[in-house]
Amino acid sequence: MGEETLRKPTDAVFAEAELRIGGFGDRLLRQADAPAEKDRALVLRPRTITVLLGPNGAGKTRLLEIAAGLRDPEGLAVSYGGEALWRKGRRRLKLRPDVLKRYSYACQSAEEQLFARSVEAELRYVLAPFGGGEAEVAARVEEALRAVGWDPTWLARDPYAMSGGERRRTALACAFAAPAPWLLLDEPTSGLDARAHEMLAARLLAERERGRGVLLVSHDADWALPLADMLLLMAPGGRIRPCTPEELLARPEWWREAGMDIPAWFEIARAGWRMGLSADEVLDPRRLAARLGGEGSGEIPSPLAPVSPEPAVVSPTARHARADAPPDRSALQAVSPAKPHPLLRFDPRSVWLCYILLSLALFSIQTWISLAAGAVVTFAAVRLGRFPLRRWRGVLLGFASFAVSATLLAGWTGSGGDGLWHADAARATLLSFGRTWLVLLLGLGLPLAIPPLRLRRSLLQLSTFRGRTSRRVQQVVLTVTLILRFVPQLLDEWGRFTRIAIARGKENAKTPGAIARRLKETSVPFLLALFRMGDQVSLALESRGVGRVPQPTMSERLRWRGGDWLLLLAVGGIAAALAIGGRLGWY
Amino acid sequence: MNGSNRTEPLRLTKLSVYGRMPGGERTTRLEEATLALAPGEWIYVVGTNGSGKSTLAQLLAGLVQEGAAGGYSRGFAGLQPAPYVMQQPDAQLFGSTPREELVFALEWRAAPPERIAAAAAEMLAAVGLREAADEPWSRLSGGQRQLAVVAAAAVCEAPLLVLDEATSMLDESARRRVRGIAERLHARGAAIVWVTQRLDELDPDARVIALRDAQIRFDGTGRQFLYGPDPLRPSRSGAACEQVGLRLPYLAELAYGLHRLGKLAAPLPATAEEWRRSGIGSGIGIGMTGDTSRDSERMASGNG
Repeated sequence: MGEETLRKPTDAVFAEAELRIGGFGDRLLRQADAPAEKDRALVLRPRTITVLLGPNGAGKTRLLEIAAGLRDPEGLAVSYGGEALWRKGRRRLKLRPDVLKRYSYACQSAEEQLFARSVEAELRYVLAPFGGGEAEVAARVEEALRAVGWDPTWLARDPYAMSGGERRRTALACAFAAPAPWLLLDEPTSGLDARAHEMLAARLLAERERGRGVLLVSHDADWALPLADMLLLMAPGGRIRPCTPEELLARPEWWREAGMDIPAWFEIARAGWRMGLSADEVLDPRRLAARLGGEGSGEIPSPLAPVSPEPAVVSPTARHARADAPPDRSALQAVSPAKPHPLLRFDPRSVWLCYILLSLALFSIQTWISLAAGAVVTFAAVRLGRFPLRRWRGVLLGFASFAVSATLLAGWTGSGGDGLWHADAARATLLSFGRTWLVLLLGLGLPLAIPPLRLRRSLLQLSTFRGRTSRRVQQVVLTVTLILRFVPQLLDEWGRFTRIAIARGKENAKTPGAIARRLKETSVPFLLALFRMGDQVSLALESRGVGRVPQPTMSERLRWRGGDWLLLLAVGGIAAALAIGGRLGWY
Repeated sequence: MNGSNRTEPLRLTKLSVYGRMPGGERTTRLEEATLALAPGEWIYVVGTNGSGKSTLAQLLAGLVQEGAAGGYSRGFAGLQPAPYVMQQPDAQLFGSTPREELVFALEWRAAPPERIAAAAAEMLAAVGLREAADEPWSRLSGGQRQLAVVAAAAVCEAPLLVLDEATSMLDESARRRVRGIAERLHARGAAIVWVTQRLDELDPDARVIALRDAQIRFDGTGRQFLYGPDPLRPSRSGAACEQVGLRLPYLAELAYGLHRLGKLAAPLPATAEEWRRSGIGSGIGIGMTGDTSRDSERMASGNG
């Protein structure tokens, strides 16, 4: 009814665009009818719904994130309507904000990304990058609400005071609101009720009619298959087989090839299809029942009639598929053992003692030459200890740039020296920041290199007196080790929310304004995620009985060996040389 | 509270849990739940997001719930909380390798020190993590990490194990392994609470608890859940699946459609095996064995 009036402002924006992902090499299996010469690119046409199916861990989410430009493309080339998503920057690839506007993305549990305090504010945030006059924006807001079955009274509602299902609807409304030609949806139905499933299916079909393309990841295969124009079956390892639902009905062994079981319902659907019913009819259980029950038009072939659409020879493919993709290996691929971390050979106590010695030596640095020597020692330690510093890149760069600005500030405003530039003050500031930075480098890397539970064991051993450890010490040690345990995960979460903020805000500029906006959209969901994680961690700890028993048993004791003495001596010597050498002017 | 009786059921009597939304408004997370779980029983708990199934699962596991009021007796489950496995492995892993994780779990369950290494190794082998036992998490898949969580929960040999959507992020093979661990514990007499959103995981003859809007709306068999209280008179609107707002699976939807048209007699089939035995399966030549290659060879030779 309102369709016609609403179409006017928004329809024109869906300039139909092809989504093309190239560079798969032989990981992309050719479609039956594709010309042999064509390079291995996945071409998704507008006005189609593509469903990405695969076992967990196959990389479905990863592929969707690559399509959205949220992670390194790993050699894949993504383009929307012929426009590449990435362009070559001076040093690395850069996202093109205008191409970011070609898609709208809802991640798994998309409600976690909400940050505004009303539905309207959230919708307007998503619409902001697309411009348009007030009337146009208002029309889009209203239409987005309608897409999830809501009326405008919901605009003022606060997402934080909603149930989980309502929050998900808010997030999906945001995905539908943006006038982008592509919808990328990751598990939009998980945890939703039957009505929401139906509503979403109807909406996706309507969006297709309006010219959008949809790329959808879903575990609800019996919900998603009837919607699909095209399927992408993704096997562990990332191999993709594109096919239509009809082709999959003809070749059910492709489920296994992709590392999945053939669902029981699919077998029934397939039986109907072999009787000559169309794919559309058999994938919808209501239509299949009607056809088998004699309703609807046309004759049903008798069950014993010769089967028409069955390809004559399927078996060789089936055997082949089974030979090169054994079904049971998917999640449990053989792991070749990692090289043990070099620091694991030592007692954590000796490693931490070395760290303290080195830090003290670095803090005592007073001259530029000893700072240089300290830098050499630090980088050697990072190298030899294989500290995973990449995780801390942001912090380290941030601190470095802060140090530079503090130095400049000190130079302009400091005392001593002559004229406008206070060289001494600037030098002193830079030196002190420099040595702190080196200590930071070591300190941040070490917790990532030493397993927290090993550290806990060693700390408890240190604090054990006559076979008992005080309860307070136990608690402190456990808390510290748990914080260390979850630091890498918190960093990952932060990274994830930053990426999604770019996908929703359509902006990856490095200007202070843009960074501040992204910070807001990242920090609110991050803090909420932090609370959720805290809840889960405490539930898990409680259910394990942690903290309940005063004295857990210890299954092994760490031993201080000769190697630990050697390490301590070597590092102690270096630290002493750094500290004393600088003073005595050795170098 | 009775914590030591090994034969008494775990009982909730008119138990409610009140909470607050992040915005500050009061909510009811569970309303007057009454439920008895017998020693060694296996129950499924289903419902949509926000229906209260996690709250119920945590209560059954014996985890502290703020704002709870009502009757509660731990019975056979004892005073210690039961191992509780959630969906995401990463918040539940405290060690840095599977072996370290199991050792940590056993130490806090006060297992005798000399038994710990052997028990951990045995469980790791049972879940198929023997080769990966000393690999850091970053080298393991999400499925393997979740298997480590389940192994750490199962290794304690507690009388009750609660799995809260523990398999929803897993692929088929990892899911089968988790299920295998739960079945192993169940065979040794442990009670299992299996919370799930996947209705195809339900066993038609096992007990299913369904929740909606913080209330227990249904407590019966899986078959009744899909087809209504009386198996001989299937009723879609009378079935709990419809009532708690869950999407009817494809096969149940088909069964209803065929039944309505008089093509399928009650009791309606609820498993692949029952489908095969029903008239429909054999009538249209369905080979439900899953071995499709043989099936198609037969078809091909039949054509020739």
